[in-house]
Amino acid sequence: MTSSAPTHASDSQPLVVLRSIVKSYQLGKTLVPALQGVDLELHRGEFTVVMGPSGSGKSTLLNIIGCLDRPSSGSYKFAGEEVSDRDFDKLAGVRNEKIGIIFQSFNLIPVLNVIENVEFPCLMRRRREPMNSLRERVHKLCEDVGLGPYVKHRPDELSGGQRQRVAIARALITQPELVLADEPTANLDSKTSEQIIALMQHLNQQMGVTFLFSTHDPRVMQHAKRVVYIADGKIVDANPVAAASGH
Amino acid sequence: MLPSLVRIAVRNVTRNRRRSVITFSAIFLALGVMVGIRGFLNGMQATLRESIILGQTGALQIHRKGFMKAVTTSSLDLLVPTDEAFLQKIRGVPGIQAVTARIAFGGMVNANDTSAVAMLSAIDPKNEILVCPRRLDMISSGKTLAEGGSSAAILTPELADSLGVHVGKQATILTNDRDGVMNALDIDYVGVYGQPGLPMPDKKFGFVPLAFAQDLLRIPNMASEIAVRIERFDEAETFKPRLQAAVGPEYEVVTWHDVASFIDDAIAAQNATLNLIGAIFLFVALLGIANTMLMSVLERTREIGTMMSVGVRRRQILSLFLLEAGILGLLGGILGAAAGSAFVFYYGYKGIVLKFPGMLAPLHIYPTVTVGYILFVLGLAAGGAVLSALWPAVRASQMRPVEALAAV
Ligand SMILES: Nc1ncnc2c1ncn2[C@@H]1O[C@H](COP(=O)(O)OP(=O)(O)OP(=O)(O)O)[C@@H](O)[C@H]1O
Ligand SMILES: [Mg+2]
Repeated sequence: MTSSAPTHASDSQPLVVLRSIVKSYQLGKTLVPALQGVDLELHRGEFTVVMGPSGSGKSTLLNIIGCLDRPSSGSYKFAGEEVSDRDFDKLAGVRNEKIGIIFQSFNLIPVLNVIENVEFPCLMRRRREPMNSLRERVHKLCEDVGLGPYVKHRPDELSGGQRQRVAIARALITQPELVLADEPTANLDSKTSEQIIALMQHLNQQMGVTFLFSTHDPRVMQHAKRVVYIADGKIVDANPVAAASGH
Repeated sequence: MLPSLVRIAVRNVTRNRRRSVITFSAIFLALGVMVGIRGFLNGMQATLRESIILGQTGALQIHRKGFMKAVTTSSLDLLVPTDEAFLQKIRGVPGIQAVTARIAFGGMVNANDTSAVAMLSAIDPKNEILVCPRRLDMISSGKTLAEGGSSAAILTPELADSLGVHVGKQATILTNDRDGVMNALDIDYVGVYGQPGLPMPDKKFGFVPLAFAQDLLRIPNMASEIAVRIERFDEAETFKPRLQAAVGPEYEVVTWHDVASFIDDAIAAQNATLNLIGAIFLFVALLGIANTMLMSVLERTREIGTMMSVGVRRRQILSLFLLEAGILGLLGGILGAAAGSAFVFYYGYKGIVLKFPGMLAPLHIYPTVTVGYILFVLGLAAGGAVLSALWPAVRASQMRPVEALAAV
């Protein structure tokens, strides 16, 4: 039930190590358990899918890994550092530099156009790279995710698929170690979903970025190299690894 | 980081145009009203000051020491010399433009077998109009003292009516001289002193030439006060020590502030009223900003969550919302102050003519406003806007990322 040992002999330490993660929500007087002791490791370069029915705790898990929420108990080491007890604001730097997040509902900043949305996380840094080189990277990335002709558009002038491409570019512009995507295709039609998943896989292979992806759509599974099944806040099977990733 | 936040702030201000326009208008109105009223009051206060200083008091006065504290201002015990040597000491102070001597005294005026007690002011006809040129505005009909001869008198209608005299007729002034001996001299009633529309100590009032009063009171080369003119009234205080040094310690030097303290009181009362009105307008406008910012924070909760998810810090979220409020306040403030200034400059150039019943000459008011005041109210608007947005902004910055992201 728990992946007590790394699934393959990797000499590098895992990027993410979760141990006995518990998360409960206080709902009035009752305590709703969302995660009930999750152990999970993610290795660099992996493309992992978290599968599970609605309400099983996928979003809760991704939020904790993304440092957007704190576990009620348990240990979370990101790149070897314990982060479960750190304040959100202290984790702002980690979110900005190490983790990219893609949401089901895109979550773009409505007053910024494509370029401005994509470069935004980099502009919020204390130490900024020169504008020229940043803009160059932004344009390149927009081309890569297929947004070339739309770079001046505002989010409300884009289709859902295009918006999600912007979100992907925004998640990647900081050159993060981990990209989290919580049901990124749930608001998209199946054809666009395929394209978005293919794009993420391509970026995973091309850039070696670690992806963790959640869905409850079994059709998505066929693209996964590793699937983690979750039900009722527990990981039920983390090992149909399909021989892990091939690097 | 900051330019990027400024860009987002500016665009958010223009995003919800209708709401921004309403908030903006409130600030615009508040600043427009504040600058406009300030300008009008500045003009009115300058006119009030001028009409008293150039019409009654002069910028500074010199008396015998103890005169200001004396119970009656008509005391003949406390006199100043008016000989050339003494006047020359005063004229010798740099910046003194004109000098004139006066005697204030009381007496009985008789005509047609009736008599009335009157306050009388003896003035030097030639020099008085150099120090107080507006005196001439108050003669509603007849001649001036200079035109009227050595025993000319200008009387208020109240005094003339109570005696039943008309311009051109004679009357007699009866009074005690300095030693308490009765003396009487005839006067020629040559001119009518109109209602100046300003506070006067007594309605039965008259003017006679200085030399005439010196004869009547048997005080040659003496007067009860010497008044001087300077270029800028607001510099009166700086002349005080210089004049004091020139005349010596037996005399006291006072400014128009001391003599006509009701001007300062009136100005202070007007300013207090303006401040109250301004505060109310500004308060309402700032409530509008607080409300706008609160709504903005509530509507944009998800956006706040998004920003946090890409690593924007609490301080930056706080700055973003404060910036938005500051932009609203400053922009509305700049336009409002500009509109108020336009009003002030237009009427400052054209002048506002006010005529109250019973007033001889209409008041000409030329509104002005200082750059300092405009900067002050702009600072107030921008600072107030930022302050009123503090609570919504703190609320935004204190959100937990997941909760903010979960908002609809
Ligand atoms: N803010 C919250 N307050 C109370 N309970 C919550 C909260 N967020 C999640 N939960 C509960 O925690 C459990 C896990 O929710 P979570 O959103 O992680 O599920 P999920 O797998 O992402 O579901 P879905 O596929 O529908 O998105 C559910 O029972 C849910 O009701
Ligand atoms: Mg979910």
